Amino acid sequence: MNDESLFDKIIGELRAKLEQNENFQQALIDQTINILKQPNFKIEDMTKLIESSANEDANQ
Amino acid sequence: MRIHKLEIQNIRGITSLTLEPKGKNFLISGPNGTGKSSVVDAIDFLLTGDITHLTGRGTKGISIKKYGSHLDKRKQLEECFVSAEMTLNNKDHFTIKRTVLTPDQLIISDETQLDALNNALTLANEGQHILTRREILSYIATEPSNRAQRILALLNLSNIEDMRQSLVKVVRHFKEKDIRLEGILDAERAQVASILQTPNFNDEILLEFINTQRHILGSEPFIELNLQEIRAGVQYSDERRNKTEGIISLQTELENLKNFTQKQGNQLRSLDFELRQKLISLLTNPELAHALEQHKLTELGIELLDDSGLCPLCEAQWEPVELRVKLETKLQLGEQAKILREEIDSIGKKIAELINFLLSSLRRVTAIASQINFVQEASLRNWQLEIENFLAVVKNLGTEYIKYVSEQVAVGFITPQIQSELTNLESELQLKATVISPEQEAYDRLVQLEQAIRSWKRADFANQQSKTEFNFAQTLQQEFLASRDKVLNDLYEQIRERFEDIYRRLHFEDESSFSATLTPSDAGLNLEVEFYGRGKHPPLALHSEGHQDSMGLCLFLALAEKVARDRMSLIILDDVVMSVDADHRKNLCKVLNESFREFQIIIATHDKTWHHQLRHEGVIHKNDTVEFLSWHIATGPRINEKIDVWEKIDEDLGNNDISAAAHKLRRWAEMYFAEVCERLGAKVLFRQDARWDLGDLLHPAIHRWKELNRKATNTANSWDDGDKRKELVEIGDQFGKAVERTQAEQWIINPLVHYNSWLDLSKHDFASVSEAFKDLTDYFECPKCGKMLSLDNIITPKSLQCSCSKTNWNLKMKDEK
Repeated sequence: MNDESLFDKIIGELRAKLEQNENFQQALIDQTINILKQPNFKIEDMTKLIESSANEDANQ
Repeated sequence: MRIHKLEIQNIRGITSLTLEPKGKNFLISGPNGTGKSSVVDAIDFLLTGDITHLTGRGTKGISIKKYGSHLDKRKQLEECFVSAEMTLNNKDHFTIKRTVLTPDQLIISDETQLDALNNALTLANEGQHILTRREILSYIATEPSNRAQRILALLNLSNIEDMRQSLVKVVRHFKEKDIRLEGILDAERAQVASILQTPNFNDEILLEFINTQRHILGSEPFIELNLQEIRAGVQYSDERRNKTEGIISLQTELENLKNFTQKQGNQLRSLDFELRQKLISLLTNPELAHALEQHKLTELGIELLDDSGLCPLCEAQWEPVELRVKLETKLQLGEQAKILREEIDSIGKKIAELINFLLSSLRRVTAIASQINFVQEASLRNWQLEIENFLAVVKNLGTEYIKYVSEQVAVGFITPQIQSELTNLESELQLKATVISPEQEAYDRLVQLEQAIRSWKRADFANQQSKTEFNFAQTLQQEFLASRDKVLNDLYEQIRERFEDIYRRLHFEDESSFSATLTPSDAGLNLEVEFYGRGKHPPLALHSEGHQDSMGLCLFLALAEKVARDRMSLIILDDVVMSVDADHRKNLCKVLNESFREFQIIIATHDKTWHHQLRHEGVIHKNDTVEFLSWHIATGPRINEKIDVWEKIDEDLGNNDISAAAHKLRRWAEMYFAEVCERLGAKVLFRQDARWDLGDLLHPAIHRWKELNRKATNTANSWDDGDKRKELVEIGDQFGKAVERTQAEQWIINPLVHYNSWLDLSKHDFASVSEAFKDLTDYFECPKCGKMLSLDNIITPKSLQCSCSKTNWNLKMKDEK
């Protein structure tokens, strides 16, 4: 059993699902996945990303 | 991973021990307290640098350095070590070694093996290599979240669970932020309301207020509301600037407070009364509260209901109409409760609006009271605190609200004392204020309103943004869970199928249609198992202890197969079949033989029956065993590596110890012929205490063998198989002679003499008896595979054969249907 591929499969599946969601821009998806893939990802990184993304949306 | 040679020096109860499993299944047997588990501990230490049961939960941090070594060697930890010669994927042999002095350091003879070894050791660190009696139920009786964590750890996917937990925290962060900003928005809106002097306002009221002020200032009224520029076109020279400005503008707030009881008090009292009634109806009626809790579940249940009467949620069998009626009644009650809850929330929102309005004015008033050193400022602040507490209760509508003393509410929060304090404050303010014109007052109100609207709109913007953030985080979390489940469900399904299959093979006599569900929830993995056609239930709920142990073992094996086969392929079973009965153990042997040949299985047991079953079923070869006889703290276990009873008897005879030899022969023969009687379906006289001795077993075993031999001979005759008939007749004759040599008939005829008379034999005579028994076993075992012969079916046997089928007696006559 290849554990690495299981992890990648889950992340790949998540990416596909987010790409189907019109509220998620590609750049945001890429950044989200990058943060998730970091070992022990920091919650602050994710909250900052979400806040800046929501801010951009609001200002558009 | 296979262990070929294991050397243990000064670890736990062992001083010095070398075992040679040679990469094959290996049995460590012996009574309790003889050091078997120290071998398991030593392997655990070698592979992980830890001894799980010493340092795990509930052990109060017992240290490896202090208790991993032999007690007498605590000061020479470099002499406390385990080393093993091993192979990975049947490739080159290499050696690994670990000392208690440096438990984190693994010494390896061949660095090229390191990557593959680390892959295996990751699994060992998660405890997948060992199953002990203590741990067996942890697979079954554990919380779903622990089960999920354990399996994810085995799958090297702990980071997926960490990720889930982090995303939960991210969602919680935005949820809390949203609640906080919602509170700020309410307060800012209440600030606008307090300037307008009405808790409820709309664009029309706003426009009217602005135009009233503009009219006083001689400006054109707005036709449409323009909140950006409410002072547009106002020609007023705002030259008055003195310390009383804030005090003057406070007049509105003071009026709001003083008039609250009169203007909003009745509304508040009426809302409070209505809310209390509805809360009492909902919260003091358990049936209604329960129906509300289960409303969504009931809706789902009705949606999934078919005509079979099988409950789609718990799989209990109902009369079809009865179940539908029950669910519909529950749904109606749930609808009723849901409407009631919505009404409660709506009233709560109205009350919160009124209280926010009150608080908005009060906060400004207390601020100014502080600014002018008003003597009763503390009283005002206490009052403010009390109202803020009430607002918190209103926002969390539950039993707390019913318990909240409603005296304050009854007087609209303005007690006579507060009224008096407000009047005093007003007088004091008027003394300090200069007289201002209506134009100035109108201008101040417009400025105030402008600022309040700006703050309100800012709060509204922040609130909208926080909702976007919350939705974003929530969607991310939901999609993550959906992705995880989609990928892992397939794997869980494979594990479940394997678990079912192994369990059915162990329990095919009574649970051949056993089934299970293994379903992930947010953080957990729920396991439910079929209970004799009565639906699925948690394993702990209805199954016996023995069945639960079986399930734990089966789930462990299913996981080992799915998770460890390519990475580790080493299984250590430490006394795990204690509650599993003999038949199921035999079936377990078959499962291990048929499905786990790619694994090296090391088994420790104190159970002699299990020991014999493992041998007779061929899981363990007779030379791949070590017997722990006794243990002493200074010397460690005393062992007998080859459990060959004949060698041991010869050894006793060599020492002229007839008593020891006779004892060994008798004990061995009792176990051996008990197994024969079971396999051949021999008729043994029933004993309630189940303590049959050799006298009870030997004759039925011999008699049954002869009976089957005659039946097989007749069968061969019926098939005109002369060669087979001849062979069977010859075997029968030889068997008779072999039995005679054991002198069994003599003891059977004279039970008083019994087998104790062996003690009276000479060394030479006993050697003959021993030899005769040894020869007799040849007739109960296959000469090729060495395994004991068994009937295919005890009740209606059609053949007697061994596992390899080299020995096969047909028992079905030609004309037999």
